[in-house]
This record gives sequence, structure tokens and C-alpha cells, in this order.
Amino acid sequence: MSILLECSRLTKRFGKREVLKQIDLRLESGHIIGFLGPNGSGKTTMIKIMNGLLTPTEGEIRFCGGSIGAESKKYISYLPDQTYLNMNQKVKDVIGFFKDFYEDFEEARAYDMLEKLKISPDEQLKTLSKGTKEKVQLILAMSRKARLYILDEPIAGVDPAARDFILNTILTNYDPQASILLATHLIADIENILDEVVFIKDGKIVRHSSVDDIRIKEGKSVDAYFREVFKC
Amino acid sequence: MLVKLFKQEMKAKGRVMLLIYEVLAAVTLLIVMVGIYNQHVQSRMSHIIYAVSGAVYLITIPVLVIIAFIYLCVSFYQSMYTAQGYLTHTLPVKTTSILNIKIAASLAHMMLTAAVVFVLAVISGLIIDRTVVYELWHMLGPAMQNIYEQTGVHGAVFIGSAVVMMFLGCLDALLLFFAGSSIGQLFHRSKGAWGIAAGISLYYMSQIISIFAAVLLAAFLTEKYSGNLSDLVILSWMIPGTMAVLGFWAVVYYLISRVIVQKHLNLE
Repeated sequence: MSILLECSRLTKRFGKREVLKQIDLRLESGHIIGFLGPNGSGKTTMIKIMNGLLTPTEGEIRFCGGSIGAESKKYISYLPDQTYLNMNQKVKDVIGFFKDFYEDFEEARAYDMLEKLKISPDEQLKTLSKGTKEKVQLILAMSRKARLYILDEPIAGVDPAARDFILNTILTNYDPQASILLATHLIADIENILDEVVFIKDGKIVRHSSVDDIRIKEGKSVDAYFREVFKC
Repeated sequence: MLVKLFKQEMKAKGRVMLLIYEVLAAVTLLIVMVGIYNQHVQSRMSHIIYAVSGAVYLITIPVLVIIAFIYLCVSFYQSMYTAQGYLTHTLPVKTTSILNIKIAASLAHMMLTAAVVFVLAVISGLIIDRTVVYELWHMLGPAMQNIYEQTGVHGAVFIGSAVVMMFLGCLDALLLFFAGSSIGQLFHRSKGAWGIAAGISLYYMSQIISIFAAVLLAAFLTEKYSGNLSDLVILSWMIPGTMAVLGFWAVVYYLISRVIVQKHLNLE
């Protein structure tokens, strides 16, 4: 197991508001990690820093020993929590774009997933429903042979039937040597696929341990433990 | 990778820009048809229609050029600082390269627009009244000679300078918008409004400083030539001076955008 991502004393402030507070985190390869926390806990901010979309106010973040930049982006596959594609394009255009820019993008796998989901490559993105757009984005992210997949709320906007498909897609399409960081607050749906969990509350990591550890030490499921930790 | 990015940029903007070029061509075709009709009919009404069409044409062309400019600016903002930026900034390319490519592609489209307008104007002129175009062409030589005699500047150099200044002017205008929108995205709310405010502030600041620099230069030249400033001296300072000012502000706006994109990206 090698260290993929490492943060030390990572802090992010928006004006006077401190969103992330002195975060220390280390993610290893070969795990599916749940990045769990209620709305506004700092999950998305943290993920954006990992992807270079935000710059930290203080502290350091490293991917495979190097800083976040053009090199790290070759190996991190990111699924944002919102639609980010140019809606004037067709599905096949976006696939062509990913093929052009990411060396690890597997076009055949993308088309295979599109077929399974009955999404036509010739469809304009703007004509697709919100859920279908999210599925296209997931297909794009999971068609890469990345070292780290960062999926921000991948199942939040889709129906329960599609959730199963998405989780199955995630499980069957990632390299076991890679890691997946899955940010969500729908824990019950993903609990069974997780190896590790990172709990984030008010910008601080309150727990980082294996799922088995929680079940054994706390005597409850991750979902039940989450409800206890984040009780309002 | 950079060539691919440039191609993608040109392609992404190409659809809308092509539509603008098509409208430009359609408007030109319309004025050509009205012009030919006027030549054949030669009635008072056809003259009026031709005059009105000509006026509308002269207004439409700059309006379409402004629309093209606004589109290029909005497209830059969307792809850099809205949700689309999630894709732009997670590409395995240096952020400065992304900025450079976007500037190059926008500038290429601006130049292409200028070229299309010029070519359409020449073609329409040749079709409607080729004698006017030939006359203008024949007048060009003596005009260049006149400029040379009056100022000592070669006609080709004069035209070349005008083209370079137009290029720098376009670059300046684009980079002013890019710098303003980059400043705007540093704010946590109303990023667009802050971007416009920053752009306007930068514009006025650059105008005030440029005017101040021009006044200082005029004072220096008056002192140097003891008040005997010839056209040649003024022109020999004015052309490179204007280019230097445009170039200077282009560099300032570029550096503002570059530093923000590189070190302060804030896709909240």
C-alpha cells in the first residue's frame, strides 16, 4: 500500500469564515473510502483543493509526493457534485474530448457503459434529464484508469434503482490498485462497499478508520454511528 | 497537448462564431442585392431603400463585431470561472497554458472576424460599384506617397503599424475583460458584478495613467525640440508610443489574470 494523498495542517478560509481547520489526512492506495459529513461540513471544499480548483489558505497537500498540478491531474479522476459539461455538445463530443486529454481514458469502456444505460452518444447534453447528465459524468470519470477517483455526491441526484447501477459501475470499473474517495451523506446506500471512512465535521476530521473498526469498536453500522456523531 | 487544447478551443467557440460570420455574410449579401437593384431600377424609392439599407449595414457590422467580442469574453468567463471550470482546471495541463491557449484562441477569432469584415466589404464594394473600389485602390499609392512626404514614414510601415495597433487594441480589450473577471472570481459573492466593477476600474485607471504618460511625453518633446515639433517628430513618437502603451497594459492585464489563475483560483 502506498500513500496517494497527504494533507498536513490544511486550512481554507473564505473571508473570515474558516471552512477547513488544520486538516491532516493520509489516503492509501487500494481502498474505497467514504468521505462522510453533513451538508456544509467542508467535504466539497476539501475535494476541490484535492483537484486544484481551490488553493488552500494554509498547509500543504501532496499527491504521490508531488504538489497538485498538471501531473497529479493525470492520475486523479474527478466527478463534481454538479453538471460541469458544456451543454451545447453531444455525448460523443465529450467522450472525444476526454479521449484527447486523458491518456488513461478508455473509450470502449465509456461506450459500453453508455449502451448499458441506453444513452445515445448522438444525444445533445442539453436534451438529457438531470439524472442522465449525472450518469454521463459518472461514465466519463469511471472510464479512466486513474490512481484516485474522487466522486463528490455521485448518487445524490438519481433514483434508487440508478443508485445500484452507479455503485455497481464504480465497483466493477476501478482498478483494485487505485482508491476511490466517495463523498456523500447517503451512507446507508454505500456502506457495504466501503473499506474506510473519514468523518468531517465543521471543517475538522473527527474520525478516520476502517469500517470494520467502527463495527467492532462501536458495535454499530457506519450509518448508525454517523447519526450518533452528527446528531443535531 | 497544447495543440489539442487550441483546436478544442477554436472548435468550441467556432459554432457561435461561424453563426456570426454567416449573419455578416447574409447582411452583406442583402446590401449587395439592394445595391444591384438600385443600379438597375434607378428610381427615387430605390435610392431611399439603398440609402437606408446602407445605413443599417453600417450599424449592423460594428454591432455584430461587438456581439462576437462579448461572446468571446463570456465564453472565457464560463469556461474558466463557472461550473465548466471544473473540467477546464482538472485537465492535465498547466493552468498558465490553459490561460495562454484561451487568449490565443479568442484573439484568433477576433482577427478572423476583422478579416471576414474586410473581405466582405471589399467583395460587396466590387459587386455594387467596382469603380469606387478601383478608385480607392488607385488613391492608395498617392496617399502613401503623401504620408511619406509629410511625415517621412513609409506607407507600408504606416499600414503595418495600423494593423499592429489594431491587433494590440484587440488583445488589450480581451485581456482587460479577462483580468477584470479574474479579479471578480476572488470574491465570495456576486463574482460577475465584482468582475465588471474591476474591469471598469482597471479601464479608467489605465486611461488616467496613459493620459498622464502622454502629457509627460509631450512636455518632454516640447522641451527637447524647443517648441518646434514637426509632424514627423510627433508621428515618430506617437506610433511606437501608442504601441508601447497598448503593449504595456496588455502585459499588466495578462499578469493579473495569470497570477490569479495560477495561485488564487477560487471555484467555490
